[in-house]
Amino acid sequence: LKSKFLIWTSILILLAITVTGCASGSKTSENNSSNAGSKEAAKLDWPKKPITILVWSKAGSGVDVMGRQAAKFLEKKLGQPVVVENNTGGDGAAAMQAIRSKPADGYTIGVNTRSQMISLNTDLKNQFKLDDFQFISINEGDPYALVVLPNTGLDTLEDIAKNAKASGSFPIGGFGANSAHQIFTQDLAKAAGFSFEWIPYAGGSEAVTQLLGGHIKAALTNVGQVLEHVKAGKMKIVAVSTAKRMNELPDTPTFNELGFPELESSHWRGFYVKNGTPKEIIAKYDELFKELSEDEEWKKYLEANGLTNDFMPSSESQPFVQKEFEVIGKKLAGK
Amino acid sequence: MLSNVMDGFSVIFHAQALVMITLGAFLGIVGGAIPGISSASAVALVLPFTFGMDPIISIILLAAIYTGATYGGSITATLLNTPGTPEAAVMTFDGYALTKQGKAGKALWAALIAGTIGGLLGTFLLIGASAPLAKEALNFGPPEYFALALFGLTILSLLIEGSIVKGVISCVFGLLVATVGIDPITGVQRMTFGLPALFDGIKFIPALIGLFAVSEAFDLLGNRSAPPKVQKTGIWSTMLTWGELKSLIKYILAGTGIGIFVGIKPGGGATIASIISYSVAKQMSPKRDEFGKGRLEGLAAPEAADKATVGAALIPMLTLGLPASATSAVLIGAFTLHGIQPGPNLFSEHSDLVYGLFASLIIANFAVFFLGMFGIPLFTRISAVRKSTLGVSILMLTLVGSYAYESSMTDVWVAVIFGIIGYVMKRSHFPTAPLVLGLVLAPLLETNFRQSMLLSKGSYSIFFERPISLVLLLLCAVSLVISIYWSYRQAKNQRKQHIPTKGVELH
Repeated sequence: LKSKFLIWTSILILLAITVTGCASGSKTSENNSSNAGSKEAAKLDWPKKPITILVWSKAGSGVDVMGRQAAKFLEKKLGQPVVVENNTGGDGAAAMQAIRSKPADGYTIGVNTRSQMISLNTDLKNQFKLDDFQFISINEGDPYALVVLPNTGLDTLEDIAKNAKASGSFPIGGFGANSAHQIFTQDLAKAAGFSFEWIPYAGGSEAVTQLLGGHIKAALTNVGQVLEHVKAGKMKIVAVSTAKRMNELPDTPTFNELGFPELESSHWRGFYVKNGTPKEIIAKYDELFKELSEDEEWKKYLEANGLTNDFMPSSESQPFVQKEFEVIGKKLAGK
Repeated sequence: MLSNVMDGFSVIFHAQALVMITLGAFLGIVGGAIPGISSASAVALVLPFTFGMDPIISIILLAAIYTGATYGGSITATLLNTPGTPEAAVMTFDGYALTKQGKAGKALWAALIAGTIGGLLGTFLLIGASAPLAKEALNFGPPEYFALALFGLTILSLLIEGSIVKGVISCVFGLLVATVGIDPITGVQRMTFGLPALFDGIKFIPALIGLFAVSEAFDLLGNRSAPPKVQKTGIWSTMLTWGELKSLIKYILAGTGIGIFVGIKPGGGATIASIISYSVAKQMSPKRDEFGKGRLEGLAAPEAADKATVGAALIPMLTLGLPASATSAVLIGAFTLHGIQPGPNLFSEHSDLVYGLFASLIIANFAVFFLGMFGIPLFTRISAVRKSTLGVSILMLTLVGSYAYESSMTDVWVAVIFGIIGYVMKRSHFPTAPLVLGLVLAPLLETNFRQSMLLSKGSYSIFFERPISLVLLLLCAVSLVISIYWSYRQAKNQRKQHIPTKGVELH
């Protein structure tokens, strides 16, 4: 009887280890494809082992979905497994720490977003420096959208300013405290001349739920999060933060058009590596991500999720991230 | 509607789909039984393996895991006093008491039957009424969530066993621990000592593992007594009698109702549903005083509630694209990865997928039932194992489980530290369940209270002007009055019983 129990316990433990081990282990079945390596790769002889993409937020988040979408493509092109690991915790500290502690050989890359520029300016200021990393690409932009309910008479920024003044309160909900979304809303309110109360939620989808229930007057979130609701006529986007009107939303104006070019921005996402990674490897990534930005499946993914194809190679993304870091730092300090 | 569901069955009635449902139910039960792997993490762990699969197959596999995990959590809660999932915490009260009496098989049957009924009713509701109920999911704003969390907290007083004072201290300690981390409203760090590992606070899953599982393992390691005699181990010999089954029906239905009401609210959650239904069952039962000492109702109601939340949580997800639970948030991620956008158009654009999912949930409930049924004789033998052997096995499982939760060593340390805290608490007769519930409810209470204050610009009237929040606050008051009344009556009864014995002594 006892030995049977022991057998079953060990089976359970083995199962637990296999499940967890495999989740973070390698997916070998999908990469038998033969198109391994272009000419450069042959010269470079890289990668010789699996590549790990570290995602700082949970499975299913925007950052995670991008990481996995890119992993699919990279795996096909490189002929090596590309594993996505969710290294959550500490506002991205866990993932950044993991990347900094590994050799600078391009085998461990991280996904970062605008949000990390905030934590690097605040909570993680003492732990990490921007120079610890090299920001090798920007791959997609997730535009901001100011969302309201339809038929509430809040169709334009003027309507909102009037309502805010008349009622004395205008709660706008969105992701997080001191988040990129809150900073954007502050800039917007200053430009358009209205005051508001920021209601922070644990996630953008929570703010969307609260807006649908009429508990807040507007939400500041990303286009992808509300695209389906807008198509179904349950929500209305007042304006989006893209440079030009989006293909999926031909009738929605941009803040740019409305006379606020300074609001043109997006919740960008890209990849970074440890500083000191060899130039040849970064050049290889440049080439791969350029191809990715032209990939049909990638374009389909961007379109379905309301994302923009804002590709930047390493030569542009490094100064771009540097500037974002400084601009956000100033905004946080000026508050 | 019916023809759509029939189409759904035709989508999944082929070998691959049925194998996936069974596999999912099995993986879910195993994952749920391991402390640390909650239903959300079980689904998240399997998610990466489903990328290469057909979208329908992958979604039904994940839904079956979700269904299985809710039962799995109750198995270990009942047999080992270590809840595999947070919502199974209340299952330890009566479940483990029954196990100690050698009636583990009966306890598992009660949980299995209640869970299957709750799960099926939740699924039927999802199929039949998701469109009208979708609006129901939206009528909870911050004041309502605050009132619901407060209700969960006041109802705690109804289920604390032993010293009320010790129970309250334990609960307040839980609330206090929950303040560690980055402030959700202002973004300021609180009691983190600048350590990134503490930014997200003390997560309640590793804390739960520590308080229940690790401390139980410590206890078992020092226990040299012979294992209790297991009375019966067969499948059918432990089956509930018709009379027992009939008496449980109303508790199962009550639990299901509570599970649906709470589960449909985004952020409501299975844990609150199971706490409330346990307390309600205790109030409904004529044998109130025997709760916590092995009443089947104390298992049936929370288990039914727990399983009913699965179907209910999928209603806002499928109709509005909004996650109502951590697990449905992961499922939304799975949809997105397959290029399907959950939202108001999902029913019209992907009806085969939606109805296939409905059909698979029905089958998954039966799969869990049969796997659970054949598992009963196997699971119950655990209680015949020598205590110290069991302690070592639990310790291994829980440490692996707490690492698996988010691949973080911090979580393992949290589990170990809370294991020591839990052990000390047990030795000094402090109940550990209120601590966990305080930890679970605190973020809900705090965030929603402060969001309400932001909405009302600091006026408390927001809680009383809104009908749902007002009703919930009245319920809080009622439950407080009831608990005071019961403790008064209990004290009076004890006095009555006490006096004659004294009289006898005097003679």
